[in-house]
Order: sequence, then structure tokens, then C-alpha cells
Amino acid sequence: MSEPAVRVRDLHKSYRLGRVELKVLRGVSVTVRAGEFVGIVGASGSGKSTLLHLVGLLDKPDKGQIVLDGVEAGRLSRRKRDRIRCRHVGFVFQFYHLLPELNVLENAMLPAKVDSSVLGWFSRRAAARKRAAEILDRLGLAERLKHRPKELSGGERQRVAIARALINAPRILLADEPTGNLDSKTGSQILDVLRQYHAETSQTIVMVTHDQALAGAADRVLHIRDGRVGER
Amino acid sequence: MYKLFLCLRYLRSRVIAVVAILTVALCVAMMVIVVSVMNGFLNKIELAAKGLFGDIVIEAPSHQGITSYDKLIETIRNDVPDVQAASPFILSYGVLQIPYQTHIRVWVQVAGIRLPGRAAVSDFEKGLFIQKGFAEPSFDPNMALMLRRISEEAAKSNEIFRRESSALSAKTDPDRRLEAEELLGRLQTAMHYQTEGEDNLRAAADNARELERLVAQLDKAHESGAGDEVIARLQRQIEDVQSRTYEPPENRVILGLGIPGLSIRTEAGETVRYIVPGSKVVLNVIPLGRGISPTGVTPNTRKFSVVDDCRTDVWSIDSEIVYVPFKTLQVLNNMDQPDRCSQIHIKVKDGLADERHLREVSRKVHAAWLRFRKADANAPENLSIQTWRERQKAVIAPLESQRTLVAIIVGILSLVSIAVILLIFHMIVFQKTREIGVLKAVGASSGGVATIFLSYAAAVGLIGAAIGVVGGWYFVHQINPIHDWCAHRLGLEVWSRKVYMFEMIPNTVSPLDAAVIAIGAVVAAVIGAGYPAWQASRLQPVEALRYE
Repeated sequence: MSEPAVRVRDLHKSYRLGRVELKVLRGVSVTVRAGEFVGIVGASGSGKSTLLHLVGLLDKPDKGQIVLDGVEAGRLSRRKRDRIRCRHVGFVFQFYHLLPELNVLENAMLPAKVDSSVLGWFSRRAAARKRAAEILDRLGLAERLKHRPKELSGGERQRVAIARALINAPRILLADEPTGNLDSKTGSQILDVLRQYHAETSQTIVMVTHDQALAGAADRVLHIRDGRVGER
Repeated sequence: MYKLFLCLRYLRSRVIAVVAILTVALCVAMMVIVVSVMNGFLNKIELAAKGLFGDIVIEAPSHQGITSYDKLIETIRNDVPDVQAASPFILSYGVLQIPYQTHIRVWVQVAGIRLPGRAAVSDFEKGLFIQKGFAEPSFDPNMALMLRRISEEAAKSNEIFRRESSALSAKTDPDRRLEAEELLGRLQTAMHYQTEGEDNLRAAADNARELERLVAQLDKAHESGAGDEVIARLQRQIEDVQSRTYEPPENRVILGLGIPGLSIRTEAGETVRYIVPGSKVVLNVIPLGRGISPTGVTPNTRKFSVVDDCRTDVWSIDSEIVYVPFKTLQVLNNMDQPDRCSQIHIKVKDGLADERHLREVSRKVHAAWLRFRKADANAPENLSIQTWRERQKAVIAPLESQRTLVAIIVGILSLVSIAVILLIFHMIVFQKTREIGVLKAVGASSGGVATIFLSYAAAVGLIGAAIGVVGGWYFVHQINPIHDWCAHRLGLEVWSRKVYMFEMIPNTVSPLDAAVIAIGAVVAAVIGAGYPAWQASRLQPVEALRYE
């Protein structure tokens, strides 16, 4: 049997809020197989975003193991973690987090740029451009390549963010409340985009949401409550 | 790749980049202007304090003067190899009469100087009109050269006259019109006197012959016992010709350009001379060398031909001092029989001009004088030998405290500038904390993120500093026209020539100062941007993203 895409063991994470220590995760264990679309549902404050951040190496756990494709992330150097974030993980945020100075195409290509040296970029630019244009086209943004984020609607922005997350063909796509900032119609369109992409490419996707109905789009739904995950 | 890309993109597409560049430019320009003007000002004050003196001044305690000065100079030059040159000097007082409309009378200081020896102990020759920069200026400059300079001066006056008359019709305000008309009148007078000076020079030989002829006639008339009427007529004629003759070298004078009535200044800052070579002036010298007696104050009077004028840019010197040949003043000041001078000015060799070396040289000069006094019976008995700083202690002491004050002001200003630059870059990067989080989330390294903002700050700093240096330099360079304009249009006269002793506001920028200021600005920008960039890049990506 091949290595699971994500294997999380006994993850703990707490935050300090003033004098109070807030235990967000208290021993979470999750496994996601390659090619799976997993939905994680939980109320706000249940620690689902924290879990996703830890899996995406955007933060460090207090305790526990994160294994991505058989590689134990906790033991990696800063540099290697940067590289995994860049190449193997795509992250979609609730608030899009696009760079306002860049247009749609440039935003989508940013991870490819980050991954290249100045010289390397020259040999890679054409291919990256083609791939970005392709993905954006597939997401229905072919007409918007030269627009700045502020000229786009919320749904369009989120689609740009998805394109950015996919540009380097990551092993795992992590989506943190991707529809949380959108109206329900646009939200379900975004969900369709994810589901369709998953169907066509068997992209491994982990999506967290507080909305049970949205999670229904996933192959498998996990619940997070009081800092622990259960399959129910 | 993304570092360069984002750095360029931030530079291109942000109003804030322009604001930051302007901030840096303004701070740099301000510092360049303040430092240049303040430094220039202090240097000029020091120059003014040094005045006409050499590095070391030998002075007699009384107006009786220094005897055997030439032998003393020879001894000093032989005994003290550090001495480059030495020249005797007489300073007296007198009244100068200038033939402008009715005669103007001006109270002046009269300096008796040896040429070209004076040029070896001071920068005298640098400010001359006719013999500017000559290594060996004299009281007998080349005639063709004088004529050429006069015709240049006339051409300049003519051009200004034409410019001002064509500008006249545009002036509607009656006061301004009146002012302009007055200036035109004065320009006309100036041109008249310029022509007169030129004619006097051109007709020098004819006038001399004419004078000779008239004097011979007068003698004959006296002998033949001609009537009073005839003699009076001849005397009037002689007087008339004398007012035009070109005097022999011993009766020639170099005037300070700032003496009132000698020149006019236009609004645009041009100087137009009334009195040019060939013009004649009368000098009444108070004979200080005569000693105390009831008749001691009758002045000695003589006519002089102007051959040049001198400008040191120190108002107190230019507006008060006229230079005549040493020997001539010795006679007029009754310092002949025996020959005396009032001061000896010494210039030391290059590289010894700082105070410590000067004191050492001045001790050696003192020793040389003591030896000379033993050997020579006519040697001066009492002399004071001082460096120019020692001699001008009373003037310089307050200057030093001014220098401290200026240093404090400049220090505060640079702190303010640095703080402003630090702050603006801090703010620019700080508000990008979330974008830094995004970059890190897509895999940018901490160092990469820091590089973007450091190079951004360095680029903004460099562009701003370049604009600031050029702008500041230009402002300082044009500061006098700008000031003249302000004074005239807005009635805002900050610089009074009389108060500050200098003709012009200092207008040179030291390249070293400019470089230090520019580098300081770039460093402040890099540190200001570097600190928050470094801080943000150390955060976990999610912490930076969460930043509100």
C-alpha cells in the first residue's frame, strides 16, 4: 500500500490569549489517502483552521507528528519546509490573500516564480505561463488575466486563489473555508470547481468548513469537536 | 526571481513609493542646504577674521611702526625655512573722494602693499577685476588688458540697460516703475563714467603732453609777469587736464569693490562698475606715522588713477579698504625717514597652516627676531608675533561657540531626517505584513522576503538621495538669485550684507558632505525597512497572515 498523502498523529496546539492558554487541538489524528477529497467540519473555534495550517506547514505544532508523503515535517529545516509549502502544498484561504499589486495571471504564477531562480525563470516562464493560463481558463477567468484583484468579484478572486494554489501541481490542496466569504450561490460554484477538478485530476483535497452541507461534496467527512477529530 | 519582480513591481505601482522617494529627497536636500550654507558661513567668517593678514602677523605695538623691516624679513626667511613668503604692510585711515556726480566722500582704510609680494602672502590676486588670478599683479597692469576689460564691462552694462528698458513697459505698479527708471538712470551714469575712464587711458600720452605744455606755459607766464587773469585761466586748464591724466605707477590705486558709490547691483545680482581703470580719485590720508603733535592730523592729499578693483567677498574688507603702493603710503602716512611699516605678514609653507604648526613657526620667527635684535642696532625694539587666530582671538572665540551651536542644529536636523525616513519605511513594510504572510505561505523564504524589502528600500533611498543631492545642490548654487528674488518680491530679506559681512550667501556644496548625507539617507531607509521586514519574515506564515 502506498504512503498516505497526509498522516497526522496526536497533534497538540494551544494559543495564548493574554493570560489564558487556549488549547485548540488536543491530540488530533487524521489520515488522508492520495487522491481523496476529505471534508472536515466543525463549529467556529473548533480548531479546524489550525489543523489545516499545521498540515500546510504554515505553523508549528506544540506536539505531534505531521507526515506528508512519508516525510516527517517536524524534522525538516526551515528551507525544506519552505520548499514543501511551495511545491507540494497548495493553500486556499477564506480571504483569498491575493497580492494587490499583481494582476490575475501574475498572482496565479507567483508560486512558480518563488520556486525559480532568475536564470531558471527564463527557461520556465513560457511553461508556467501556459499552465497558469490553462488553469485560469478552466476556472472561467480567461478574460480576466490582466485585471487586478480589486477589479474582480469575490468569487473570481477565490478562483484566482485556487489557480495560484494549483500552479505548481501540488500533491495536496488545502482549502480553509473557501466559500466562507461568499454568498451561497457563488460558494457552491467554487465548490463545483473543486469537485470537478478533483474528479478530472484526482487531486488530493482537504477542505475545512463549518457548513455540513458543503462538506457533503467531499468523498469522506470528518468532524472536529473540542480539539479532537472523529469520523461519524 | 520573485524578489526582483516584486521589488520592481512595488516601486512602479505604488503612490507610496513616490511619497517615500520625495520624503527622502526632501530630507537629503534640506540637509545638503543646511550643512552647505552653515559650513560655508562659518568658513567665511573665519576668512573674514583672518582678513588681509597672512598666517602669522608681526606687528609694532604703536603706530610708529617697524623699522628695518626688509632686513628683518631677510633674516626670517633665511633662519626659518618653514616661511614661504613675507611682505610688509601699512594700514592707515583716510577719506576717499570719488568723482560721481558731485564728489562722494567715503571714510576708508588705506593699505600700503607691495606688488607682487602681496599675492605671495594672501589670496589678494584671486579677487582682482583686471588682473584676476595673476601670479604677479602690479600697479602697472597691461594697458590693452585694461581696455579690454572696460569694453567688456561697457558691453555688459549696455546689455543690462537694454534688458531693463524693455522690461520697463511691462511694469504697471508706479512704485516699481519709478525704481526701474532710477536704475536706468544709474546705468546711464555708469556707462558715462566707464567711457570717461576708457578715454583717460586711451588719451594717456596726449594728456601727459598737454599737461607738460600747459605747465611750461604757466611757468613762462609767471616769468613774464603775465596778468592774474592769464595765470588763473592756465591754472584752470591745468586742473582740467590733471583730472584726466593717467598717473605714474606710484600714484595708482586698487579699490575695494564694495566701497559705496563704486558700483551698483542689479536685482538679478549683477555688479555694474561706475569706476573703472582710468578713473581718478583723490585720497586724503591721516598720517598716523607722524607722531603726536598739534599738527599731527593734517591729512596728506594726492590724486590717484584707478587701475583695478578687488573683491574678497568679505564685506567688511571690500567696503572699506583701498590699496596703494607701499612706498607711496609710507610717504603719505609719514612713515618714511626712517622707513617703517606697520605690520609684516608671513605665509607659511603648504601643510603647516593648522594652528599647532602655525604656533611652532611663530615661535621660530620670534627666535629669529631676537637674534636679529642682538645683531642690528636699528632693529625694532618691541614686536608682537602672533598667528592670525591668536591676533583675532576676540573675534574667533564667539565663532567657535557658533560652530558648536551649528553642530547641534545640524545634529538635531539629521536625527529628525533619519527618524522621518525610518518611520516612513517602517510604515510601508509594516502594512505589508499580511502580504509577507502570503509570500511565505506560497513558499518564499524569510531571507527572500527580507531581500525584497531591503532592495526596495535601497532603491527608493538611492533615487530619493540622488534627487535630494541634485536638488539641494541646485538650490545652494542658486541661493543668491533666489534670495534676491525673495527680497524683492516678498520683501523677505534674510541676508543683510552689512550684518553678515559677506557679499554673497555661501553657495558651494562640499562633495564629501553631500556623499555622507546621501549614504546616511540610504542606510536609514534600509534599516527602517529592514527591521519590520526581518520581524515579519521571522513570523510563522499564519501569524503574519493573521495580522490586522
